[in-house]
Amino acid sequence: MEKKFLKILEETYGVLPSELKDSKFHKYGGRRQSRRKSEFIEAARRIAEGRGIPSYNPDRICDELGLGVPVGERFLEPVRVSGTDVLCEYEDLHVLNNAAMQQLRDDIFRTAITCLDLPHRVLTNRYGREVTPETINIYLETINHTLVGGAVAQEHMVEVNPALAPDAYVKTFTGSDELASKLDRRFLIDIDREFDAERAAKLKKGVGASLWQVSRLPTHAIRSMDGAMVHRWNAMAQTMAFIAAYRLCAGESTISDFAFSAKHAQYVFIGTPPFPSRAHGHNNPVGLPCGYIFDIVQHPSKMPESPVPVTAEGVALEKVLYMQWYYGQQMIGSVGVTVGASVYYLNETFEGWGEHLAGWVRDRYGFAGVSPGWDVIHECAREAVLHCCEDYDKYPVLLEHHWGLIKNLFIAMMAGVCAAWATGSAYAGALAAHHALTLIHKELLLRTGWGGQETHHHNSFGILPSVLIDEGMPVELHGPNVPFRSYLADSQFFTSPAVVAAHEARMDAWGLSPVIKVAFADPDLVFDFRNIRACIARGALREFMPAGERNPIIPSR
Amino acid sequence: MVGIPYPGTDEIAERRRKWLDPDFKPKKLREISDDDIVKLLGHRKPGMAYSSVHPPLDEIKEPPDPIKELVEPTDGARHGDRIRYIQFTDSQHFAPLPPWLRFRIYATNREFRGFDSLAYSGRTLLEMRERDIDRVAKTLLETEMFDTARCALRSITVHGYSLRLDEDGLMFDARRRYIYDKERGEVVYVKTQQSVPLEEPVPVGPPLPEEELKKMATVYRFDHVPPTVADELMKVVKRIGELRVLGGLRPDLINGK
Amino acid sequence: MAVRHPDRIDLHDERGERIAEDIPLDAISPLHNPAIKKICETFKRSVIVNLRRIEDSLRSGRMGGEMGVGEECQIPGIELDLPIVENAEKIAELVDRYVRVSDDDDTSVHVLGGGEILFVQVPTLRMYMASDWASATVNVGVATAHAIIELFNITPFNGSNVIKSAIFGRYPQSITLRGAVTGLLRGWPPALDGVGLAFRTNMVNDIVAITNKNTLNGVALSAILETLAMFDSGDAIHPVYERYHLLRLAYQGLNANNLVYELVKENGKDGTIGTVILSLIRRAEEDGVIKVKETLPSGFKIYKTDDACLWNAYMAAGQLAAVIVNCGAMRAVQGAPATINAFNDIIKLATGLPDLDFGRVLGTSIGFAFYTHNIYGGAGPGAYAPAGPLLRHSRGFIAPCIVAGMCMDAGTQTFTPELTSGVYMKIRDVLPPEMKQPIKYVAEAASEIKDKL
Repeated sequence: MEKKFLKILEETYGVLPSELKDSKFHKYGGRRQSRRKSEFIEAARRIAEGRGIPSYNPDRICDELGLGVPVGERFLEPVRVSGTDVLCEYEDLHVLNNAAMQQLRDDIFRTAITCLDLPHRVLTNRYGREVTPETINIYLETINHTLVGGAVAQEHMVEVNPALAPDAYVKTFTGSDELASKLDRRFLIDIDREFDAERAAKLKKGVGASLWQVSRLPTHAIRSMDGAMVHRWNAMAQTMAFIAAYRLCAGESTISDFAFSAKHAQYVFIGTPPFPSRAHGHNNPVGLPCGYIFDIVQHPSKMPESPVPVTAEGVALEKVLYMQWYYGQQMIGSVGVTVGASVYYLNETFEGWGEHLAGWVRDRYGFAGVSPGWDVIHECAREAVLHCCEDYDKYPVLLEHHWGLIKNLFIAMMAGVCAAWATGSAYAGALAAHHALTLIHKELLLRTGWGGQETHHHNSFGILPSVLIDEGMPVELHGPNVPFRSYLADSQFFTSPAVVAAHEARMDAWGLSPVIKVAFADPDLVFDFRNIRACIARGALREFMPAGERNPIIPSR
Repeated sequence: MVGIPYPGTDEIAERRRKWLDPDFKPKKLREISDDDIVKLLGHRKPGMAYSSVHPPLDEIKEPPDPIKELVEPTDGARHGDRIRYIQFTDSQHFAPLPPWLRFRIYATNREFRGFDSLAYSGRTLLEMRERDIDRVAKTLLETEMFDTARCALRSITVHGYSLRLDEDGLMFDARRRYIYDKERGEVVYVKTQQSVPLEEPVPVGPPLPEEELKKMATVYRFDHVPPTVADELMKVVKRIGELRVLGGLRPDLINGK
Repeated sequence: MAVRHPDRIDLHDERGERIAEDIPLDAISPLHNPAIKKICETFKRSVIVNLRRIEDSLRSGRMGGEMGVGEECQIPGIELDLPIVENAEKIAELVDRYVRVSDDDDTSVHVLGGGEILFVQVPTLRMYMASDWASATVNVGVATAHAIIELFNITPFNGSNVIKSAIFGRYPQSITLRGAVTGLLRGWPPALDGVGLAFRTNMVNDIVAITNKNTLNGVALSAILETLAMFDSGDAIHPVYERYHLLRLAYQGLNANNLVYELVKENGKDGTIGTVILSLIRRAEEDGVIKVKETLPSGFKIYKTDDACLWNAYMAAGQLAAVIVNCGAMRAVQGAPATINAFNDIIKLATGLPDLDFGRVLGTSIGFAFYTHNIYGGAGPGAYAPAGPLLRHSRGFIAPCIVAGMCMDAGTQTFTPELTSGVYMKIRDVLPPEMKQPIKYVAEAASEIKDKL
C-alpha cells in the first residue's frame, strides 16, 4: 500500500517523489514564492516606515547588500498538518506565529494542582470543622471567586478585571465514586465521562479517594509574569478561599499549619526548577518530565488495534513543547530548530512509517509483547533504519523535504517508537533510538545530522542503565534538565516519543502520574489536548482563538 | 603499515578499508592550478605571503617539555601560520565521500597530520595551518575525493546535500557558487567558498559519470549496494551497542564477552 | 575488609624514564597517596585575594558587575580611595591572625606581585570543621573585609558594605561569585549545576598555568583532579569502578608503564590518530589486554577483553597520545576535540569493542567539538572547565587531553592561560611542588608507601 505521505509530497511539490532532478532551481521566485514571507516583508516595511528604524528586510540584507542567504532558490514547500487536511507554510508553525502552540504551553503551565486531603485534615483535626461535600462545594465556588483576584478578607483589596480571565477557574476530581457523585458538577472533572471504563477504573484507583484540586490560572497572568508565580498565585487564592469558606481566623497559630498544608504540602509541580545554568524557573518546559507527555495527551486510544494515533499525538506535543519551544526558541533563540521539529507531525510521515512498523511489531512480537533485551532492541532499530532508508533512497523528494538534521532524527525516533511498541518499555525504546542513530544508521551512511547531533546518543548507552549520580533514572523522569540532555537541541528528542509509545502499547491509563492524566482531561481547557495536531493546524490557519488577550484594558482598534 | 580494520565483505566495506589506510594515496583525476585553489579557498590572494598567528616556532621561547620534542610540527605550524579552513558539502546522491568518511580519512591519513575537523549532515569542516591547507587542498580537489557535480566548496549556506540535483546533475547551491558550462562540459566556480564573486571563473573539470560514481560509492543504498548485505557491519555494531550498555552499568560486565 | 587492587605498575616521568617500579595501584589512590592528598587539601584550603582589584573597585565604584570580561557597573557616590596594595603586608598580617587557629598550625598567607595578590591557605582544622570547600573562600573574603575595615577605620557610615561588595561582587543578589576573591578550586556552590562537581571547576587554562605548560605534568594534575572528583561524586565507589578510575589515572594521567610516551614516540614524527590506534591495538594484544574472539569472513577480527577496566585505561592512554600527536603536529589545541572524537569513533569499529567509557567520551567530544566550532557561544578549549554543561558527561577521560592540547598550543588561542588564568601564574611560585610536578611527587610518594599498604 502506498504511503499517504508520498501522495502528499506529489501534491505539494507537483512532481513524483521519485524524481531525482529539479530543473526549476533558482526559478521559483525567491522568497516571494511564499505568501507568508511576502506578507512579512510588507508588514515590516510598514513598521520601518512608521518608526524610522529598519526591521526585517531580506531584500536589502540578502540581495542588495549580498550578506544573507537567498531564501527561495529552491521550492519552499507547503506542508499538511498530519491528521488534518490543513495545508500551511512552515512560518505558520513557528511557535511565535501560532497562537495554538502558545496556548498549548500556557494551558500546561498555568495549571496548579493540589491535593486537599491535608488541609481538610487540619480543618477537622485542628479546627474541629466538619468537611462535607456541601462545604467542599461552597469552598469551590469561593475559590473560583478568589482565583481571579476576588477579595474575601481584606477591605482595601484591589481586584483584577475578570474580563481578563475568562479562562481561569478551579475544578476537582477524585477516585471516590461516592464523593464525586456529591460534588457540584460544574467543578468536577468526571473521570467516568472523560475516559473509557477500563482506563477510568485504573485512574480512579491511581488517584485514590483523595480530593484533587486543579486550578487554571489566567493565561494573561502567566504570559505577563513567569511560571514560578503559578504556585504562589494559586496558594493565596486557595488559602483565602479556605479562610472564607470555613470562616477561619486570618491570623493565629493554627493558620500557619493550615496555610502550609493548603499551599505547599501537597502541591504538584508541573515543571520543577532546573539547575542555575538553564536560566529558567518553575513551570517551564525544562522542568517537565517527559512521562507527563503521555499523561497530558488525551487523544482516544485505538489500542489494541494500533498504537499509532496516540503516539503521533504525543510526538506532536513533545516536539512543540521541548524542541520548538524550549530548545529551539528559549535556549538557542533561533528560527531553525524552532520550526524544523514540526516536520514530525506533518505530511503523515510518522503515520506512514508508524503503520508499517506497528504492523511489523504486531506480527513479530505483539504490542508490549516481548521483554526488553538487546536482541529485540537491535532488531527493532535495524528494521526502522532499513525501512526509512529505503524510502529516502527511493524518493529524493522525501529526502529534500527532510533537510538537515530532520532525516536522522526521524529514523532514530521511528526506531525508538518501534522498540517501545514491541517491548512496552520506554527505556528499551530510548536505547533503540540511540543505537539506530549512532551505530546502525550512521555506519551504513556515514552521515548523521548536525555537528553535535550524536553527542547525547553515544553517551546514552552508558548513562541510561547507570546508577551514577548524573545518570540513570527511569526515562519517564527525564527532561531537558537532566545534564546530558541539557545543552543540545535534540537531546530530549527520542525519549519522549518512546515514553508515549511504550505506555500506549501497554494500554496504560497513565505514564507517570494519574493525577496529571486526569487534570488534563478537562474539556474546558482552551487548547484541545484530545486533538493536538488539529488544534495546532487551527493555529496555523489563524482560526484558533487563544486566551489571555488584553482587549478589555487596551484601546479598541 | 596495515590499514585500519573495518568489517564487511562487500565492495562498500572494501572501499572504506582502502580509504582508512594511513598511507593511501587517492587517484588523481584532474588538474587545478595552485593559484586557482588559493582563489577558491578565498583566504588570501595568490602570491600573497602567509600571515601568521604567532612567531615561527624556533623564535618562541617555551619552557622545556620533553614530550613535545617527540612530535614533528607541520610546515605551517613551524612557520606560525594562521589556521584556515576548507569545507566540503557532499551530496547524498553518490558523492564519493560522506561526511564521516571524510572525517575519518582526515584523522587517519598521514597527509592530514595536524588537522581539526567536524562532520555535519552534509558538510565536513577541515582546519589546518594555512600552508598545510593549501597543500592538502590539491589532494582534496584534484583526486577521487572530489566530484565536481556532487561535492562543493562551501563555508556558508552549506545546505544542498539532501536536495534533488539540478538539470545538469549538480548539487543545489542557494548561492550559486558554481555553474555547469555546457559548452566546455565542465563545472566552473564563479564564487569562492565564502560566496565572494571571483574576478575570473575557475574551471574545475567535468562531472564524473553516474556509473563511475557508483563504482566509487562508499555508502550503502537500496538503489545500489543495499544495507541488507552489510551483515558483518551489523554484527559488529550490534555487539558494540550491547557492550556499551552492559559496561555502562559496570565495566567488568563485559569481561570475557 | 577494605578494597585492595592486584595491579602493579611502573611510573615513568615526562622524559620517559622510569621513576617508580612495581607500584601497587592503591599507592596512587587519593585515599592513600600523600602527594595527591597534599594536592587535594591545597586546592580546598587555598584562596586568592586580588587586592589590586579591591583597591581599583573601591576607588572607582566599579563593582557588582556580572560580565565575564569587563565591568558594566559603577555606582556613583560609593567611592573609597584606600591604599590597599600599599598596605598589603598589614592586611596579610590581620588576615593571618583571623584565620589562624593556633600558632603552629599550617596557616599561610603570602603577599605576591608587590602587594597585588594575597594567597591564603586556611588551617586544615578549619577545613575539617567546614561543610564544604567554599568555607575557605568565604572565611578569607570576610577576613579581608574585616582587615580593610580595621586598618582604614571604615564605619557603617563611610562604606563597610561597599568593602563587602568589592570582595564578593553582587552575591547574594546574584548567585555567582565575581568579585576579588576566589578559591584555588574555582567552583562556587550556589552556581553549580549539581553535586560532585567541585574538583572539576578549574578551567583547562588554570591547570596549564599551574604546571607551566609542561604537557605530562599538566595531564597528571588534571587527571588527579578528575580522580578526586570521582571519589567525591560516587563514581569511584565499588571495587570495579575504583579500579576503573585508578587505572585511568595511572595510564592516562601518570604515564604508567611508559605507554603514553612510547605511543607518542612511535607516532610523533609522521603518525596520525589512525596510526596511534594501530599501535595501541598491537600493544594491547602483546600485553594480553585484548585478544581475538572471532575472525569474520572478511578477515575482520572481533576482539574481546577479560579486563575491561585495563583496556579502557589503555584506550585512555591511546587517546591522550593521539591528542599529543595531532595537536603537537598542528601546535594548536583546537584539534583536540576532533582528535578525541576520531579516536573513539574509529577504534570501536576497528576492534568490535566499545569505545572509551562506553560511548560517553565519544558523545561528549562530539558536543565539545561542536561547541568549540560553532555559533552557540562555546569559546576555545582552554576556557572550558570539566564541570561545565558540556564536559561533565565524560568524567575523567577528556579533561587531561584538553590540557595536553593546550600545552601543545604555540599561541593560536584567544582565551590563553595568560588571559583567563594569569593569577594562577602569579601564585605558582608559592604553590607546593606536588602541584607543579605531580608526576615526580606522586611517584615518589607511591614508592614511599608501597610496602605499607
